[in-house]
Amino acid sequence: MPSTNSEQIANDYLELAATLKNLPLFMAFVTDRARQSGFSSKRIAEVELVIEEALVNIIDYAYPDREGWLRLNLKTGAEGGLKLEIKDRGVAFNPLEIEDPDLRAELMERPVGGLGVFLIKKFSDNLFWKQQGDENCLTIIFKKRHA
Amino acid sequence: MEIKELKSEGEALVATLSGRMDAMTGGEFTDQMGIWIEAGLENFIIDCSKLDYISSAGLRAILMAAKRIKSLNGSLQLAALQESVNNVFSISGFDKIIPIKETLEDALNQ
Repeated sequence: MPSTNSEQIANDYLELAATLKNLPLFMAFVTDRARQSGFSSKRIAEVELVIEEALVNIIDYAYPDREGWLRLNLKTGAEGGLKLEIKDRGVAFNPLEIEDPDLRAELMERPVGGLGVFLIKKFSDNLFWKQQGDENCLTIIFKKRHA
Repeated sequence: MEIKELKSEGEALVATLSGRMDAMTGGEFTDQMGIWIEAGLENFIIDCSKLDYISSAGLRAILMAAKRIKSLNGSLQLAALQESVNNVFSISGFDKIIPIKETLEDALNQ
C-alpha cells in the first residue's frame, strides 16, 4: 500500500463521555494504533501510561459539576510516530504549568500526588497545550522510540 | 488487579500484586493495606513479579501506604519489579524512598 494512502486512513478520532469507565476504550484506541504503527511493547506501555495520566486529569477535574466529553484525534506521523490531540470543554487547565515534584525529598516529605503530569513529560516526545475558544487542547507527540 | 496474601514469614506479611495498578484499581491496594494495618500488621513484603503496569494512581497508593507504615515504625518492601514498572519507579524517585529488592528471596532474607 502506498504510504500516502495509509496516512489518509491513519487519521481518526474517538469522542466519548469523560468518565473513568471509558478510560480503557480511550487507551485501546491509541495503543491499537501504536501497535499497528510498529511501536515496541515497551514503548506501547509508556504510551499507555501517558494517556492514562492525561485523561484521568480531565476525567477527575475538567467537569466538576456536570458531565462532559473528551475527544481524541489521532494521526500517524511521517516517521511512524503518533500525534495525539486530547480535547475537552471543561475547566481551563494547562498541565504544563504544574511544577515537577522534588524527587530528592524524603519519604515523609514527599507529597501524595503530582506525579501524573511529570510522567506525561518524561514519556512523551513533545507536548503542547493551547486553548481554542472554550476547548482545552493538549497535543502529545510519541516517537516510536525514545531519543 | 489482584492482591493475594501469600504467607506470613516471621513478622512480615508477604503478598503478591498482579495485573494493573492504575486509576481504576489503585484504591483496592489502599483498602487492603488499611485492613491489614487495622489488624495490627506492620511489616510487609510485596511481590510485584506479576504486576504488569503502574500509573501515578498506583504510585500514590504505594506512597500513602509507605507513609502510614513508617509512622507505625513498620516496614514496606517491594520485590521483583518488572522492567516497565521499575522504570516508572525510578523515574519518579520512588526507588530512593521505598526499599526495592531484586527478588522475593532478597526481601525475605533481610
